[in-house]
Amino acid sequence: MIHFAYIFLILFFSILIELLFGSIGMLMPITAVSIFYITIVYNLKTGICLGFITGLFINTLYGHYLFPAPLSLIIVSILAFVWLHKGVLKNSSLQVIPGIIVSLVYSAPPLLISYFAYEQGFMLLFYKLMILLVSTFLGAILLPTMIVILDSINSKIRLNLYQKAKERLIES
Amino acid sequence: MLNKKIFYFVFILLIIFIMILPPSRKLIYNVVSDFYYPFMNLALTARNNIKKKSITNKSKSFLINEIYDLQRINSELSAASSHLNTILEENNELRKLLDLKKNPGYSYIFAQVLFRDPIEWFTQFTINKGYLDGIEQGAVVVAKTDRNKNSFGVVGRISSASKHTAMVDTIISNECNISVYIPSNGATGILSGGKRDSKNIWSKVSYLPRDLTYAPSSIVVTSGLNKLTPPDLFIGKIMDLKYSPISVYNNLFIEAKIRPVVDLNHLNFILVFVKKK
Repeated sequence: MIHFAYIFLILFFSILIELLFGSIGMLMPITAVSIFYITIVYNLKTGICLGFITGLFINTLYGHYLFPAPLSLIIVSILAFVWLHKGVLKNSSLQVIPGIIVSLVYSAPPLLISYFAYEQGFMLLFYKLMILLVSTFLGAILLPTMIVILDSINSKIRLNLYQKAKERLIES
Repeated sequence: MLNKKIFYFVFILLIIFIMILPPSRKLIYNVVSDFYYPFMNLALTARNNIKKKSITNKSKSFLINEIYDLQRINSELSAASSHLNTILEENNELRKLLDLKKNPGYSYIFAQVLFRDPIEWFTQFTINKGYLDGIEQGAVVVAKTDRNKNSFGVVGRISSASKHTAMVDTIISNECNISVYIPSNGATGILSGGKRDSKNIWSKVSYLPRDLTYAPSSIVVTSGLNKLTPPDLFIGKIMDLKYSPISVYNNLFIEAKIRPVVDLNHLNFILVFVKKK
């Protein structure tokens, strides 16, 4: 039950923060980062299911007619699974790399869809690239920060830690 | 192994079901947007309070002048409104005598933009009023064309409404279709979708008759053919010649580019027209 409440709170606040920043024109990939974190801490199946549901919620909230977010978040979960097996989890500063990749996977598809559907010209493409760059930068900061904050909470309430996920994997 | 296969099969079916069927999308929209409404509304209230506080920083003489201006505008509008009411009553009487249908009449619901998608900034946004406030799907949304003027222009249409929120598709969105009329030559067409580049933003009006001439800067208004849309609401103007606003398609119809009269980038307060019951 505690796991359910914990995941719910993380995703609820992620969507809320994404909506709040979105309203001032900032593309914040916090939900994608949260799904990445949850997949590492829990497992791939949980990550895929939650990624799909969260993406669906975000796209319906924004009233999109195409649903790129569920698919992007499923890819994010798979990427997390790959990072868990091949990457380094203990070094916080190295988490910038998945942060960048996750933001790219999550932010690029809707930006491209929107460009081809409603926009034209090189200037707007450049503008979209700038948005993507800012989003990537935010993702790079967000993932290490989230790991530090959530891992400190997890250790207090005795939940699994992101930084010890590899050890758990080897043990199992 | 079999359980795993069943899980993935059900999961994929669920994805297809939710993504394809519009009622399931609508259901999810209603549930999720109403769930997030109190939190987003809290943020909106905080933003409004900050704006109100910032007003108190202005000088007393400025505020006194503002009050006098508002009082003047208020009395002008009251006079115009009572005059229009007299004309409306007279119009209804004449319609009755001629055995014509009574004008439906519209009421206006004031709303504020609750949140916007940073990616589809110009095509969609959510407002803080829903069907409990009287908002209905397909209702026309208008906003002020200029801060200092009392003229309004069409922003878009309500695409879906939940209990407390509603989604607006702007006149740039491909999902917003409005029947329009060009008073200068009497042509009618369908406004549907639009585009933007680095300098301009425009909507497309299709199915315009080919045998008429379309002058740049001609005003485009709503035709009122749809029961949910009042007639003569200002939408925009045909773009200048340098943007090649007129094109022929299928050798049958004209397609015109129109510049929206409302600034879609800076929307805060809007009005929703709903039919009086």
